[in-house]
Amino acid sequence: MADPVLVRLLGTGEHAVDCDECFDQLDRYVEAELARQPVDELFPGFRAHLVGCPTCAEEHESLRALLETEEIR
Amino acid sequence: MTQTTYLIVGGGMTGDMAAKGIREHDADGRIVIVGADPNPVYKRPLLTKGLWSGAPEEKLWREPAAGADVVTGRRIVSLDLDGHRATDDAGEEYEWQKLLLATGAEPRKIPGADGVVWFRTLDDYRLVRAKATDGARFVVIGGGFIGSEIAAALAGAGVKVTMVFPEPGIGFRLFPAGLSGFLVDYYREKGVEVLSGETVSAASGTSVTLGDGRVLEADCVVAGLGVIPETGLAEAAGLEVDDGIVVDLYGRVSGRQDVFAAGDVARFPVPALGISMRIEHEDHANTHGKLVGGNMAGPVRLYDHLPLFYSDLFDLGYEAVGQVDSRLETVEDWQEPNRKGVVTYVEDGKPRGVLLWNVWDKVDDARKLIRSGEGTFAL
Repeated sequence: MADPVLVRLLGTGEHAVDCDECFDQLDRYVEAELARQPVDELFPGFRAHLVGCPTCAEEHESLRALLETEEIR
Repeated sequence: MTQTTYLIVGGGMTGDMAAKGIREHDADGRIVIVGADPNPVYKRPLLTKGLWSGAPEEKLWREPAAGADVVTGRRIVSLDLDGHRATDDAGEEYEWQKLLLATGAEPRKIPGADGVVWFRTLDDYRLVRAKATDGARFVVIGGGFIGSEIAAALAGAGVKVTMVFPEPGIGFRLFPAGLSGFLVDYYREKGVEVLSGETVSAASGTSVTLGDGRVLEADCVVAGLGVIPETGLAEAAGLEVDDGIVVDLYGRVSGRQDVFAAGDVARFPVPALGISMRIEHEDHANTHGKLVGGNMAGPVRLYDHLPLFYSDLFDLGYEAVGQVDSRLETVEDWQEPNRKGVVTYVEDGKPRGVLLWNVWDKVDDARKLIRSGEGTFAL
């Protein structure tokens, strides 16, 4: 597994996602994840941002848990 | 072949305190300490703190434990736990009865970035100090503990410092966002150029290339990107490793009564928090080292200490205990915004950590609050 500290520092060489962009698109990203779509292609730079940003990562986990629960229902 | 009752692998503060812990119970048993650092044990915190504010190098040294044989500049490279043997990188063999792994941690490095000073040891300090002449240009990569401390120290020494880090603020993983952002302004007021939110695409001893292609030239590039526990020896010996060597409340590794680990490299249970942690600070190195050393030689005692850590950033200073992690909910109580106050870190309504910002002699109160499991810290 990549070292998250270095991922944050070095970036990925692809489009850099910031917190605002992450916030705007997070619901679509999670829906795509749950639909098993190729999220790294659809949302370039998104995964790197989630690895590097604890706030967005927590938001991502919460939203994913919520939508997974809704799917089960 | 060197025969010893106690073999301590690692010549840092933890190993030194472990030897002293052993001596409280066993006045005569032979203790051999083998450490990779070429220097005898020294007080590591001074490398980014006191030595930059006037303390002479003589203040670095600690008196070693009585009668301990200290081997510097050697690294233990293999262990045979059942055979009670170890071998160092010069081929010397050691036969031991009790073993302590106090191998510490190594600085995280950017692959291929040759020439950067990955600040960790006394030799790193001496190298940086020699280059830190008045007006020299330094780039410091990293805005965490070491990055923020060394940047402040260098600026205080008359060096022109540029800090680069990917987070939005200094100490962003530790402090609430407001305080972290305040520190950016504060460092700028002190003359440090702060480039927050910047990635690094390449670095050498004299330049840093940012993610957008800008190049920062420097007389010296120093990085403080955190550390990685030195668990390779333990892993090769088949010990349980999970971001650190996993130990029990007494510092013993799983399944053995004769092998222990302590200090930076150990992942230990924290009863007061109900989790395991690995801590890379002086108070833990000293306290855990001494207790586990004592457990190697005498009746075992459990480690229920909540370690303190501290830092000085120009005129500001803090002490903290417990889980000081900005991902937790924070409750702030400021007497003077960002200058004097207390932050309580809360999870599920319970206090998990306390940051005492320019507030002194309250660490024990903070520990009591965390152990109580309720409330927040009020000044």
